[in-house]
Amino acid sequence: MSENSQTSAQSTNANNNSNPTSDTVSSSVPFTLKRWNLVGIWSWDVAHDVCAICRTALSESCLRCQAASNLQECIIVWGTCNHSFHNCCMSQWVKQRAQCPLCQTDWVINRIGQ
Amino acid sequence: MCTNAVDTYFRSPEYDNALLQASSNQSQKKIESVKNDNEVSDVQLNMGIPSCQIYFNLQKTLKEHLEYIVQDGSYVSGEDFLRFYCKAWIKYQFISRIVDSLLNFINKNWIFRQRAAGVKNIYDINTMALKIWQDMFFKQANHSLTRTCLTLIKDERDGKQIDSSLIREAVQSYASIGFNEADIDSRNSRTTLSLSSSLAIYKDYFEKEFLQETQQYYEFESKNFLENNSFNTYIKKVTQRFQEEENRVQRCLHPTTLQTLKPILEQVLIKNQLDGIYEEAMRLLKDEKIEDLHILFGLVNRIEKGNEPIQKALEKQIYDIGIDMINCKNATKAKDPKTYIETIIEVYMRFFKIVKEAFDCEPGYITALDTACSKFINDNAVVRDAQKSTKSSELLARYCDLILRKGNKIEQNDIDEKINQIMIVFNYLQDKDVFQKFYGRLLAKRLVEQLSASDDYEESLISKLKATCGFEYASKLQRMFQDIRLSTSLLKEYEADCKDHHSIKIFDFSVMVLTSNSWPFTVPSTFNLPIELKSTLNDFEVFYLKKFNGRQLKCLLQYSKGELQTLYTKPKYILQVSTYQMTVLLLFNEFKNMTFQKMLDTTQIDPESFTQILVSLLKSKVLTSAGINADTLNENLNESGITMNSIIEVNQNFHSNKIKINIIKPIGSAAPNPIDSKPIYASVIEDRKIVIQAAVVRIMKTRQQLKHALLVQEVIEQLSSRFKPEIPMIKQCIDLLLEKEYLERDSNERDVFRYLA
Repeated sequence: MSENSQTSAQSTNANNNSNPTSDTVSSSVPFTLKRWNLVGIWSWDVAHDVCAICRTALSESCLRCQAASNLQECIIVWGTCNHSFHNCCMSQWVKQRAQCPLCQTDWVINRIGQ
Repeated sequence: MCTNAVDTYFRSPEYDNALLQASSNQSQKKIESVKNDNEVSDVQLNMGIPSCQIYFNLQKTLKEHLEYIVQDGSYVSGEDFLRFYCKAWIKYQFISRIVDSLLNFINKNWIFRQRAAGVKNIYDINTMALKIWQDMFFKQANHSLTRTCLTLIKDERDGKQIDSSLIREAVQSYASIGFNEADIDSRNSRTTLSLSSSLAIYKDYFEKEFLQETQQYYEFESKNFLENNSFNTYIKKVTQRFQEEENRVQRCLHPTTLQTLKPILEQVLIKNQLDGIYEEAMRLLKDEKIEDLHILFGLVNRIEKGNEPIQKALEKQIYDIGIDMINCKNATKAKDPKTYIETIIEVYMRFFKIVKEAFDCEPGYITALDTACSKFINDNAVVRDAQKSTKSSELLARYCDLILRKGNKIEQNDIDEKINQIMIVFNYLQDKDVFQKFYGRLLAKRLVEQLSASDDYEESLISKLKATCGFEYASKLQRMFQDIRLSTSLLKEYEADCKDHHSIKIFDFSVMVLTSNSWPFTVPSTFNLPIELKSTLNDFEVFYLKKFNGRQLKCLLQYSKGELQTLYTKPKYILQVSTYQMTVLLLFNEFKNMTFQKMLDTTQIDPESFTQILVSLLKSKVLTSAGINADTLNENLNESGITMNSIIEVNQNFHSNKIKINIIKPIGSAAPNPIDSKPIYASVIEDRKIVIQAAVVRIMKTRQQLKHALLVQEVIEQLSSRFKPEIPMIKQCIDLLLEKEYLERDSNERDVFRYLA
């Protein structure tokens, strides 16, 4: 990074630190941030861990996909009731009954995981 | 018969003589026509001379001719007679063939009709000629001929030079003149008239005696030879003898003799001396004399089950040496993954060489090698010392980590070889599931910390594991790889997105997003991130959650790291720090100095971790506190004199020889942070219970009803490719399934289980 961008980094820093302790900062700060490598981990945003239809964890593929050794990701579907299931499982289920297996309200898809 | 030879013959003066001899009352004119056009002449000749006349005249002429020959032969004996016989035979055979083809029309017409009418004693021309030879010459000569041939063979065995073509010709005559009535009939019924002879004469008059002679000769020789020579020389001699004999059969005898000769030689030369040969084998095995073993193998391999004792000995030897090699390394060194695995590979390679070069990779020897290796790899001093039968799996996984990690100082070509060696040891592992656990964890660390030497090698090993243990075994490992790749493109998208929104980039930011169930990581407790990090994280989170529906993102801050530059020093240093360290250090951008307590309160890092972080910063002398000696500092703060009220500040005199300083590593030990094996073993046991239960259910579902012992046996069998389940654990799992009412006990027989659908 050039000298220029460094000073801009410091100034942004100072702008951000609009809290009352900023007056204690010495004329030049001792450290400047050069790089950050973040490691994050994602999981489905679900209230239950287990799919009520196939009884496997929602973080895993559904039972059918596991049996078929399907490398494709097995996605999750949320209803308006905020209950969630494997999309594979639910699409089988609604063929018989268009209701949420957990709360028996009519099944309306709220969102589908990606 | 070769028609070209016949054609040439037709154009030679010899042809005229033979023709004259065969049919003396034919006119010269008709012979001319034969010369010009064979087919037309057939008809003409057939019409001109009665076939029977030609046939009987020919028979008479041949008989007279042979009488002279027999007469001539009576003046010589021994080898000279054999030579005479062979010469006469070649000539006679030639003539008879020529006449046969010349008078083919008689074969096809008159003789064919005669035989079809059932007239005996009339044969096709060639057979007739051979029969005359058999009656007039062979019957009286065969005894002397056979004796001479056998003497010649004995001379050759004794190392003398002989004219083996004599034997070949004589034997050929034996084989050719044999025929029987049935044989001729079947020949006539086909249109072909070529000679297919019966070997009865050869077998009766020659082969029988030859075999007897051979047996005697070698019985005598092996006894004599062993009195004066060692078994080692005997083995070489016998090998040579086998070659000679096989060669001789090919060169001068009939090929069918090989099949009858072989068992006799094997009995006399090998089976009768088997004890001695085995003794020699054990000696050679002990000294690992590959060349001699190969010779010996050539002999015993001829005998059914001849290899078994040697295979057993080999197995025991490999096992003993494997155990010894691990034992003789000192205790701490043996537990080192590198020493341990390389010792195993050394033993394997040493004996694989023997199996390959001495025993031609014969399956029995491969089995011996496999059995011995899996025995000593899964149970040896190191394994017992660790009191875990799965220790080898752990050590192999750690060895893989050493090989695949950056800075392994191994040549590229060698890595390929090492990966192959790893797979060899892997195949012998009893507890492949333990290996998978350790390997997965170490791989995760390598990928997240970007310490992997090369993606290609990682993938090569994973694909090999997949090939050996199936899709499921390697799927989690593969998904880790996929995550890393996806992260790269994700970061690019994010950067493009930032540009579109004209966000100011104040530092380099990179990100990896992992799939939660593929990685063996747990999310740590959160704390107050510095404002710079927090805003960047928020930006990214917004971007990510917009892109992916229904996900939640958490930070693995223990694996997130970064770089800080020191502005107060000359030169400016780059510090490579963990996010925790970064958080602590960035506090000093706000405050000149702080108490321990205040730092803890501000960051909200849990006290235990915080202590470690602070100690690492003090030890690396980036921070300092009055009255504290950084060199003697340890994590026990009371001893080191740090209290909650200690004032901590930036070390203004910080100094280092390098510009870039990594203070993530614990100062003083260069070792990569080890992974703890205890929780891994615990999780292995939990996983196994599930796998065993699944196996029990699978088996019971197909069998419906099964005895306890058989069920246990089948479970062990089914799981053997992954691990060796312990019987108490299987029992425990069966009990669990009884409880869950997957199974029930038979009310009459208590040890029989029934599957409940």
